[in-house]
Amino acid sequence: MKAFVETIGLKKYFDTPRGTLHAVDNVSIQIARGETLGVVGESGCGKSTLGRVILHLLDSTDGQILYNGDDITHAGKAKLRDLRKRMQIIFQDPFASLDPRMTVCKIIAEPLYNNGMRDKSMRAARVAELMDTVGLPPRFSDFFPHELDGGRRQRIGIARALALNPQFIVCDEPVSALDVSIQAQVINLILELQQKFDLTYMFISHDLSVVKYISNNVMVMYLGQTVEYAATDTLFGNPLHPYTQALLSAVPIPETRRKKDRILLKGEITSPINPEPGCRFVQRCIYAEDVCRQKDPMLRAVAPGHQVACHRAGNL
Amino acid sequence: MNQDTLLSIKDLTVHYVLHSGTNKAINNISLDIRRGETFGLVGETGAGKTTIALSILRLLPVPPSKVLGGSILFGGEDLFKISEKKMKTIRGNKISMIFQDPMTALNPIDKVGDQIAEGIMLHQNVDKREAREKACEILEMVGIPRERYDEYPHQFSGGMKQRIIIAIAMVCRPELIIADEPTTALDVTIQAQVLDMINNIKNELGTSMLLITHDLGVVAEMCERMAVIYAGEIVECGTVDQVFDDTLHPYTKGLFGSLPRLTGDKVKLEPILGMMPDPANLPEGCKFADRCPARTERCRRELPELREMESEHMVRCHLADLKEPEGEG
Repeated sequence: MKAFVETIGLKKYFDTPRGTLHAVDNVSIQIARGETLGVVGESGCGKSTLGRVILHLLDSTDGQILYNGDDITHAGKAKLRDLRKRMQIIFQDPFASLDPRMTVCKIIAEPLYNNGMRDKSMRAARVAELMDTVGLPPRFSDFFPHELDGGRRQRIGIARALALNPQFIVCDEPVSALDVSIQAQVINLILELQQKFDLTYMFISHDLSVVKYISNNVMVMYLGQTVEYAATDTLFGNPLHPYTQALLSAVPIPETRRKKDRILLKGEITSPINPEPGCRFVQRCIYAEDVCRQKDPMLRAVAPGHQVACHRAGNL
Repeated sequence: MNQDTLLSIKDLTVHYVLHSGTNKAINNISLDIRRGETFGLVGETGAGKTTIALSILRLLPVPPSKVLGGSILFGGEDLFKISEKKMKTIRGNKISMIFQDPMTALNPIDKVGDQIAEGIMLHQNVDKREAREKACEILEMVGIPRERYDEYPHQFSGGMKQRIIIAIAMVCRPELIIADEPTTALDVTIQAQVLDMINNIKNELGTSMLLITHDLGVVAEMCERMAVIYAGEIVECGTVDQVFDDTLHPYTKGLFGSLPRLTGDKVKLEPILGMMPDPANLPEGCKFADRCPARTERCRRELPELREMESEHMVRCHLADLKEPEGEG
């Protein structure tokens, strides 16, 4: 597979008064052109930080970021300006990510203006086109965000992200704040746009069913690290890491007569500040042994395209 | 009223009267909660779920809210007719509530143990030491060591805070708990822990529960009976098996069609088109007609009654008797 977006051993540490916070720790991803990588994990696992580091919204601490084969880890200002047209983000909260004092058309037009489209009628035409693409009727163009519901606001966020014809979009929990019936509309829109514009996505979510629906490959993160990485069907059909297994079994399934043997994890996520050596999941893991406490588990391939970071995976 | 009915809501109508118009939040809602059961109330943002919860506890803000009709019977008394003084002996004692957001529902400058003990001191004739002991017991029941009684909310994680909120709701051993999206703010592995704990305590104390949620997975897991609410009306209710396996209302079908599945093969999502009508400007006939693939002229004109299709299973749809009416339109 030729990767369109790639990271190699990417790290992002934050200095805090209590020590070094390992937000993203040695994460390597590969996303092929036109495909979607789903990134799942619970609050604080580093999935959003990963997205932001790839987009250069945060500086990386170590490791490499490659875009279309080109190392952009230390891209300068001019190069970044060009890159940002091609890499965009859709944010989670359609209530907080739109300027409340700008109208819909101004919000969508802003990136166009900032990137040199100074002709007013050209901008208006492009905004109309974008609104049509995301299914926003033209009558909303002079509305303010507070006059619209969550689903429509998220469509504005999507139109804004599409304005400069990007190739790669980080979708950071784009449907989490929406009601189910609206959520399905937006998921379908995101998929249609991918087809239409050959977009490459990194889709960050805590909702496993949504990730399963939308992704080609899935990476599960725990405390800044990749614990499992595989093709979607493999990961959901044959999860090997104890954390992935627990995560999947914890999801309430909307079906009757489905009594499952739930793996109830003990405790909660531990601190990402100055983590102890050894497996970071060890305190909550039902299979933990001495080796798990002593040695960091390496991410290893257990089958072609299926990587797991667990000493015991495969013999559980 | 059936013998094992604990709470009975009859024809409840609550509107919010605002300058900009009247918000018809809930209209003619009737439902019964039986002793010991968990009843699921499902609906989207703005459907009226929380208004129902606040009506039961008489916590609706007045103004702008206005109860236009209906009754809520609890233990043979109409909660709308008793005095506020009497209501105070019920609220937090016989009926209590678990709120959604564990970050804002606790007082940040009060010890968590004292926040739990407050309810006991208020409702039971006990001294401070006894209240503390009871609060410690319930802390242990929700899985928090009693040594943490003297700590403050910020010292706890989100999941732990939600356990404390549950302890506050449970401490007087209420007959009915209203849980408004109790796990929505939690991560899925923590949600599983908390739901499991709620179930254990509920069974131990024999409490009934009204569980408000938008998550059909949680309903399948927790509830015996359920109601689906849309634009302030119940559109379908019955046992969980009936509503899930023999879905009648096009809106309920739409909800199921909108859910990506974790199990089985990938099925294309079939979202419900459009959105819920503005409660200040509800349509004449069926509230769902605008979004319904099978609507007829009659649906737009005439509000369908909630009818019983088989024992317990009720639906508000003109077309429910027709087999296979939906899907193609």
